[in-house]
Amino acid sequence: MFRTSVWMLRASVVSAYLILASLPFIYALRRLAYVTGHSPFEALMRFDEVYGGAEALTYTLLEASVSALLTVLIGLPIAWCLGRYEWKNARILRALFSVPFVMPAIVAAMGFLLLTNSESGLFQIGIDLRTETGVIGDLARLTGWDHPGHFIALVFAHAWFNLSLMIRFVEPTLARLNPAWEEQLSLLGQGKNRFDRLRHLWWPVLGPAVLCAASLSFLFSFTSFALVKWLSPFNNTLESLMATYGGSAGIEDYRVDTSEIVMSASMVQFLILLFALYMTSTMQQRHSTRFSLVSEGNAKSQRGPPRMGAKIIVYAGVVFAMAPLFTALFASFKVRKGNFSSGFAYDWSLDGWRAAWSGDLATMGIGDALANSLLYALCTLCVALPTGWFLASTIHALEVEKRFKTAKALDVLTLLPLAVSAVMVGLGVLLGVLRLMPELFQWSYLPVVPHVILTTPFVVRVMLPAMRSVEPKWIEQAQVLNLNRYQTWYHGHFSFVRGPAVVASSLTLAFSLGEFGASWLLVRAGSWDTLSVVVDQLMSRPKFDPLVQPAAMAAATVLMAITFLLFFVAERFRHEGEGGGF
Amino acid sequence: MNKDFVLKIEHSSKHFDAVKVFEGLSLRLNANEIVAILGPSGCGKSTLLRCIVGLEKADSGTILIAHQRGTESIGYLFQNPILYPHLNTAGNIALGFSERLTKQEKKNRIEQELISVELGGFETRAVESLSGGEAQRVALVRALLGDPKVLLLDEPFSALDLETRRSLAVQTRQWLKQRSIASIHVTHDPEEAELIADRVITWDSMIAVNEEE
Repeated sequence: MFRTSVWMLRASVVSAYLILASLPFIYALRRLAYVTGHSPFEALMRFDEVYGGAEALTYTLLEASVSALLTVLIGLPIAWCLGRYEWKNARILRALFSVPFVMPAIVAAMGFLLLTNSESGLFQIGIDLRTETGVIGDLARLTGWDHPGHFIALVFAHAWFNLSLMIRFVEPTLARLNPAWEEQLSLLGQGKNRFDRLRHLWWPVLGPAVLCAASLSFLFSFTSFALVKWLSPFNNTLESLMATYGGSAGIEDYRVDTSEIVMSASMVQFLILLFALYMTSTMQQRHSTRFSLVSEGNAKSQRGPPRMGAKIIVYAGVVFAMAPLFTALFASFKVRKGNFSSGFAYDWSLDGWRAAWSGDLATMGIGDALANSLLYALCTLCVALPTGWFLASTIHALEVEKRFKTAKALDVLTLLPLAVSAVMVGLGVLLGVLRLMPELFQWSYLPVVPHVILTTPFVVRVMLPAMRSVEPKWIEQAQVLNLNRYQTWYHGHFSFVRGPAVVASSLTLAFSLGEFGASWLLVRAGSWDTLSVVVDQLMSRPKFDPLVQPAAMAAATVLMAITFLLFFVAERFRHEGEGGGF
Repeated sequence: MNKDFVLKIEHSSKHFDAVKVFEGLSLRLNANEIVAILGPSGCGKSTLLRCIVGLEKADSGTILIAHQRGTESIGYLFQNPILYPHLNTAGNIALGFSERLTKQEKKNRIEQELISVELGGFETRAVESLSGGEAQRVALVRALLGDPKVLLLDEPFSALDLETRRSLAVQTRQWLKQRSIASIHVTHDPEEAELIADRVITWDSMIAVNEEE
């Protein structure tokens, strides 16, 4: 009886989530199909006729592929050095490298804008990635390439953002691989040199993890919005194309061309992301746990402390990971004085913070925006955590009952929101609400809906491996001690997944706080702006007022500080060697 | 017995930080000879083998390897057989080839070797499906493919049940003798040592006296 009730509850939660996750996309497509008079398939076939579509697709594929490659090139040496040697401060180093991934994209965008502007160190040495003079200008002229500086800044920002994926996937396996595996190979005929060991051991062990991290980097770069909007403003990706035209899409007899653009672009994006997700899922399955792992201390103590080369690589990586964030922090205190005729000078002051805190007629103060963001994040957590937990436990229960195909199907379905862009989710919620209950559009908690859809997959990804690692012997032991059902669950299951649940909660809060794409579409009403939207609003203003940039950076710094805090809470509960990317 | 040595250790010492593992240790291994070193767990037997094969460096003393290939002429069998799960049985064995052979030659050789250790037809078996004794025999075949002059056996049968342990000890002795390979076998089981070795020495005796004279 109890078992049946549990399965019924699971089935209801799974169905409710799948409906919630798929409805916005379906609604958006239905509405767009109605307005344009084309089916989704026809829209897909007509993609080459869409204004700016082919250029956006080419640019998206190019920037996502180069970003994924760059992530591997930068992340793999760092993961290798971090995993191979005994670092005294390994925990702190890991935390520092993971920070970019949980940073709101808008904060990263602000950091990279500052790193590439006319007062940056890069500009001083002749690398002008913003206005593209000097070497970058020459490159543009010689190759006929439009805005190479913007492209370079964008792919480096994506590599920065995805750096932790490579480290989280590769480093734990490397750090805990039984050294005897390498020693054994080095004693065999086919393992005498480095190339042989790479071929016979390192690639089979790490290859799937590297490819998995690369395909996720591709996926996140493909759907990136805030970074594209700010760092590469003259080139559209599919996501920014949809966001640009999303505002007027779905309205009958008005700018039907924009509806066609959004519909075709969303279909192409959906198919490509579905393929990338399939690749990720396949690689994740192959990501081997069959290799004998030992405790990290045991494995690393045999390899000793890091050599000079490893130190240079890792500490240079730390500088790369922290630079945009510290730049944003410093810029919040740096206020411009003077004018065009008398020349500019800079003062250090708290004026930017005061301006950001008080807000004005056009922009909300960061205190109020923070309260909105926190409220949305808490509401998101209240729904996403139990939903994700239930989904993960259902997948795990199916696996325990050896219904692997159903488990796999559900596993892939929970990933689906990642295949639909945040902009599309926001648009879907907007159109769905307008059609079903227009009065809901005035409901201030509306942004929670896309936030739940977008964060639940991350809860599943954190909780599922944790549930898989709980051995049945703990439950069995609790049962033979004659504990009641709830005590058995608490001691035999909950106590093992409590840590990952805290990690999932912190990540959910962090992702919700930093979410930008869907919020940007939904919260334009003005009274319930989130902190990430306020950053964008401030930076979108003309910079005649010297306090605009410091105020935007102050807002970004608050967002960054809260994310930092949440992330370090999460890190305390992360188990040794826990991989998986999130 | 042929009195040419294949391996000679003289007054060798090893410490891990302040902890002494062994000091003033000497041993001589003659050609085609199988020596069993008997000692309690944790006394440093495995560290000695690791120093011989070059996985660790001795702090002082000398380790002389008679063969011109140096440490490459030494095979090593770990306590737990290390078979790579991404390769099947044949793939794991193929890692042992030190010479360049064609695919067909490799295939034939692996087939023959598997038959010689009573594992004929196991080529495509997943290594995770092998029993402890089968896995250790696959590891042994792989080690022998490198044409070693000396094979170091680091308690390779200790994880097996008593019956399998004894029978594998006897069989291993036969295989080593057939191929004229000298061997050092470390164990804490006196009966196993007697079954496999030409000569059994205790750990303490290697340190107390220069036993080869």
